[in-house]
Amino acid sequence: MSKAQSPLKRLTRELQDLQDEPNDAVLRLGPVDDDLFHWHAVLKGPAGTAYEGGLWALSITIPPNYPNAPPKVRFETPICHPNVHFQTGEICLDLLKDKWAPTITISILLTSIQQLLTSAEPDSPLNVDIAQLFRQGDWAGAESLIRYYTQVERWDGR
Amino acid sequence: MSDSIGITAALGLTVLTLSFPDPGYFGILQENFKPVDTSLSFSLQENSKIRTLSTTASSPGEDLDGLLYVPTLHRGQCPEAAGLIPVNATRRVNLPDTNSINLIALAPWINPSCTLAYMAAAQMDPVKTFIFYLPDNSTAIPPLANNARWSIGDGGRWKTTYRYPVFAISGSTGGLIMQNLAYYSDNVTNMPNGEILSQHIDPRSYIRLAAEVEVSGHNSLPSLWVFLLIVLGILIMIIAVTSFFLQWLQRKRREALRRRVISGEVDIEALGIRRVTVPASVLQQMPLYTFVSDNAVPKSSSDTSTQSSPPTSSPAPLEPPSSKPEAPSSNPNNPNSPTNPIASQPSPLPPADPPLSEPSKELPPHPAPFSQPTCAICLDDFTPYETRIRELPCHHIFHPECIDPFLRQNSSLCPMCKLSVLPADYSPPITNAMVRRERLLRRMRRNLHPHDPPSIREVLRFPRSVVRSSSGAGTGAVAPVLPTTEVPAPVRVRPPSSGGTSLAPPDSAAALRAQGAEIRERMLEAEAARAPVWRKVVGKMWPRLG
Ligand SMILES: [Zn+2]
Ligand SMILES: [Zn+2]
Repeated sequence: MSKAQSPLKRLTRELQDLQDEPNDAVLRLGPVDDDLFHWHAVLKGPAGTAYEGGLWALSITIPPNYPNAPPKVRFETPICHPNVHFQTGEICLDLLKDKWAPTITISILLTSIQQLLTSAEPDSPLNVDIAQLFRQGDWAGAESLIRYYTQVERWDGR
Repeated sequence: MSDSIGITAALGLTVLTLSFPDPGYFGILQENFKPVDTSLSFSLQENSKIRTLSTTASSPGEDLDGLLYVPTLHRGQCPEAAGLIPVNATRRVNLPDTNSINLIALAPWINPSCTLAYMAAAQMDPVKTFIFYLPDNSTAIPPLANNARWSIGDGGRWKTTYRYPVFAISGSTGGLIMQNLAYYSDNVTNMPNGEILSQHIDPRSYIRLAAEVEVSGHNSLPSLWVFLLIVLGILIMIIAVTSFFLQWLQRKRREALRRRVISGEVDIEALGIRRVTVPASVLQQMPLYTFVSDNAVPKSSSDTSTQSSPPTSSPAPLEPPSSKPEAPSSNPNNPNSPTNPIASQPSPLPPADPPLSEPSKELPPHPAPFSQPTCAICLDDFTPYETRIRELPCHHIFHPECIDPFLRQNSSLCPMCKLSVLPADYSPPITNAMVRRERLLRRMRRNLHPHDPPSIREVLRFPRSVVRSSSGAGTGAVAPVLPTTEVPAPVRVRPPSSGGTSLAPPDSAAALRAQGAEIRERMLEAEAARAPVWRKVVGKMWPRLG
């Protein structure tokens, strides 16, 4: 009956809200070259965790039926995490799939991704090796590995 | 060799005396060949003492019959046969001069050259088979086919050279038949009981010995076919029965799942079994009305607002097409919906507009059940007395142009509180795939080890976030009070627990680097080796988490 609205209005609105209230989870977040359907983010590692001090670039692609469908979010900087593919940057997060709701904004999504860093699900791993360390209970090993990558693979501000 | 397999093995030999008129005058008709009274003529039945020497050109189960005779050798061939074959034994010349009558050759197996000569001679005639006997007058069963006694010395080539099967009978039986071949080779009058026979039988008729070799295979091969057919039949039946049973089982399971969905025991959407969307008919029953400022207390404001709505200029029932006039129907549909604000809704309806004359489902403007200044989908504020809003059974309100496409195409859950907007007794079409998925999920849930996962979070020293546990929201304990657009239901940020502070000390760089490099190498190797298949498998085994 009623036509779906263009995502542009909502995206503009999100951008405005973001300028009013910046998100602590990210160093920067916004559209790439004024293309509202393609955003770029730099995520900060939560303090007090093995990811502390890390910076990761993410690419966010908005589908035409946003916000009824979730954006596609991908780590561009490699991150060592059980639920993130080390090479492709693919993220296994329910919010990006079946638990998506149109009330979730891109900013909220990034907050959730930051939360995912500290609440991994080693049972649905995209990175088997780190997940294996977790499952074996080799926590020291897992943590040092994470710290290593957090240092080595850090977004360099390109 | 062939004896044992039973392709063609002689089971018995019958010899009897036949009388038949000269085919030259009467033709070869089955009914013309009559057995002579066995009390007056020769007959013989040999049931067991037969060896099969060659099965060439025989077909299993097809009995071999024909008139018995002794092939005639060329002059000078096999002189040894002279004493063994009576001079007047039945020869080809004693039989009707036609190739239309089957013959069975009989000869003693004297030596290889004699045998070859006999078989070559028989090859010229319409023989069905050749029966040999060792001229030893023995009553015992002849030696086995592979016995040296039967060796021709050509490595068995004769079996392909001579295109008829060859059998062997005992020496005594062979001798007896040979002797009688001499008796029944000429005129009736010279035969045993010739006078009596000539009284009954036209003296111009032939009276000769005939033989029939009964060949195995009647039962063996057909029984194999029957066996195969039975096996096939059983297989087909098993398949059919299994298939019927599976179909029946699947239907039962679909029905069961449907019942459980209707009863609310299973929430298909929450399980992620399938993306359920809302049919237009259900959507149209949800109230649609003009937004009114929400600062009033629900109970009293409902009355005042409905009365105050006429003076305002903007609200107009803009939507005529729908046929469903009644909004209240949507309320009893959802037992999960919070109870406190409901009372305000049905009550203002009857006084406000005449229930039946108004065909539109559009209600007069009234405040939403609780304060919701913003549409959570487009993030725009509602304008009082201007914005038309759709109210879901959970009492969350949205722009219809925002929520309707979402519910029609994407989900059946309220974006705010994740409650289903579908009537409680609504069940989408249940497919077998949904049944499988639901069963798998149930089994998995049973098998999950409850104390496995926390370890990782302990390591990271962070409390479990609510991000992943949002699936529990479908159960209905959601209070309808919280929503402001700032924090949608599924994501809540909790402060870090005050608990452990025992993180590993800040890294000593060199050691870490070495360790990391090593692990990384392994990781990359493994990654390269495995990626796509691996993902599939995991997806299959843990579809819930994929
Ligand atoms: Zn809206
Ligand atoms: Zn709701």
